[in-house]
Amino acid sequence: MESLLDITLRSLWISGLASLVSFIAALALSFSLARARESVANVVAGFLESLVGVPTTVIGLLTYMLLYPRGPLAPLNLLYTPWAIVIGESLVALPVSAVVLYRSVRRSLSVVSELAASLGLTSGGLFGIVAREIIPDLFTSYLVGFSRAIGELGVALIAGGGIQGYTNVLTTAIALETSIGNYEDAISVGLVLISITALITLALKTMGERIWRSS
Amino acid sequence: MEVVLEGVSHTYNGREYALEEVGLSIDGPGLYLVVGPNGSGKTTLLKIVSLNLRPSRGRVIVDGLDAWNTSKREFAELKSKFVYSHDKPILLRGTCRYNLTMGGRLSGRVDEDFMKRLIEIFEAEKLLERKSRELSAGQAKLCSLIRALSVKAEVYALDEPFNSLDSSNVSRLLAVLRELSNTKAVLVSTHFLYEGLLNSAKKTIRLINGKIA
Amino acid sequence: MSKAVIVLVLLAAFLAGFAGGYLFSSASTPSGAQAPPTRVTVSTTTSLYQTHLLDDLLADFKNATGLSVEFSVLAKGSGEALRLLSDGSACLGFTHAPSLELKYLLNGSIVRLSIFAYNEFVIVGPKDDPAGVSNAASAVDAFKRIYEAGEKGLAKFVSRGDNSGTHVRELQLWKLAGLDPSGKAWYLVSGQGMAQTLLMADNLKAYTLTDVGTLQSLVSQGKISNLVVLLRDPKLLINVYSFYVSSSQSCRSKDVSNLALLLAEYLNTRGQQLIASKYKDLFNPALQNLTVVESAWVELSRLA
Repeated sequence: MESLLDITLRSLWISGLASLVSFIAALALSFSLARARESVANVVAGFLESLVGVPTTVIGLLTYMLLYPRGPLAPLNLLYTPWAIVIGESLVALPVSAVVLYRSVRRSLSVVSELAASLGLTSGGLFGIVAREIIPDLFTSYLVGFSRAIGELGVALIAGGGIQGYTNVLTTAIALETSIGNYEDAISVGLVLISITALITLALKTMGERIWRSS
Repeated sequence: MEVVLEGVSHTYNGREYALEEVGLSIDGPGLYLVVGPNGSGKTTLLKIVSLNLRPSRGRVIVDGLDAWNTSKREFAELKSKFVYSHDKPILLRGTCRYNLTMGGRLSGRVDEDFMKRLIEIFEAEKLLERKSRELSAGQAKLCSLIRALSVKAEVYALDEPFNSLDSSNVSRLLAVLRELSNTKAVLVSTHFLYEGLLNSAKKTIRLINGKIA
Repeated sequence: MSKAVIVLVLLAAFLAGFAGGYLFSSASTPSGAQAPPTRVTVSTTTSLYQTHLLDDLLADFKNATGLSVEFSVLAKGSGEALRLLSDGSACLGFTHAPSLELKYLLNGSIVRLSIFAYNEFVIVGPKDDPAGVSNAASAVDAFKRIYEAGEKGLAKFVSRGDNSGTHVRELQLWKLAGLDPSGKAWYLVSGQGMAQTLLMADNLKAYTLTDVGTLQSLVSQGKISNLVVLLRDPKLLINVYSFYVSSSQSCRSKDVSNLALLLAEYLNTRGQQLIASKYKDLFNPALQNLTVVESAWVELSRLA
């Protein structure tokens, strides 16, 4: 087994980047949804909610089919690279990030729009104000996406391959160690995974609260 | 600035009417009182006059233009002449000062000097750095009133502005509104009648069950 | 607001920096014409991976040739490893499932470059051996005994069930015995790798078929308490490891072909010495016995 530190750092940047991508997409998605007609938006939001439960192995297979040599994105040469995991994991994290954000954006946007209208404004320019109103939810959205990304196995194994020194992340390390009967190492990697997720969640949550309180 | 309502009716749920066949004209500066019991349609009327609500039926004519049948740009232009202040203040997260700057940020037309004067008049300096969720009901109302009044407009529609204010602030507000109504149209809804208010009103509109009495 | 923006920007920059660092340190395949590819994907059966034989061979190959190529090693069952080869998802492959290999060879999606090692499968089971496997005349006879004991409720059998080389061999043996254990209560399908399947059989005091490499590594770690080797059958249980290159479009570049040929040459020469010296107990170099091993491969590949 390669060094636990290497695996951990690799997991952090891959899942951190993937959840950042999905967070930005979720932000765009929930703002455009919040502006859409409520009936349409509710259907889309319901659909997103149903996607939250899709097994990550299915998304892993999907990513594989996109990237493998006969797939549509084959020319990018991304299969079995960290970027394949980033792509797959951002798909994994997107629904849950978006679902968390959407409700809060919709609520806040309607309040801010009403205020803006009462002061004589008819359109636009509310993005920053709404974002500021929901800072804690922004952090929560990023965090749930991150937790789901760093804890998923399907994408990392199928599209990433769990290659030592290259695409081996915490979850694939657990799977690989388990598959060769090395349960002791698997458990220690598991503990690292748990403590990292807990620590980062705590740190970012506190940071979010603090920013929110001080503003 | 002249605002005329012609045959305006409004329903929120498609069955009961909050306003029925209301005709009304606001012609130029002055203090316009909208009075009536709870649920008589005061808030609905104020929102319609200030172009915050499109009536189910009837027309709102602003300076000769049918406001709800204009181009987007014309409407935005018209809309910028109106300010509406909610009965229940909408304050964003952050300090009162931040909420005051929102007036300028959202409308783009704020009278800084007038804002400073209002803060002095209401002795509100101590409120400025308080978080909005730490304000009492009266302080929140004050903060939102200062924000609304410091935005430059032609018509101010204030929904129950005296609610939650203590008596000294009521008389301060009264003085401010009297002064403002010299140059602007100021609509004030209230279910509570102050002597001083009735005396200074250019017009008093009485609403009962959505109709002008 | 501004503070939130700063924090988000810092976070983004931090992550981007991380990403950039990795991007530059382990650059993904550039399509240079002359230089050997910097990274080649290799699919392998888990037994070669777990015993570290493959790691050793690849490292020694790099030492011997001085090439700076990186191998991305995917540890899979032979079935999946071959599928990845035929897709071109992996360009080089190390497998031990002759009948599956033959299928892919016949449809032209892979080319065999070397048979480089062999060892044997063994039938393991509980020490008290309720089915009497240790007295069996052959592997087929042993499977018949397990079936009978299973039906009487005396024995259990754990199957890989994952289309790996070991699983394929097990199915061939059932077929040779003229028996079909699928669906029986005593026939348990783990769907897992060899090590997990062995541990499962160990806990359940069940029989199973295993390659000696994986068994040895678990035994040496002290993880096996109930299982012992009950039967060897050099004829039916020979386990042949071959090296393949994918003929898929994505693996047809000159670089990959050259690398594959160099690696094959290495496996047939210096690699043989490494297997003989360092993995004496686990694997046998195939070259010294090539005719025997090759004919065994041919015979095994014909078994349905």
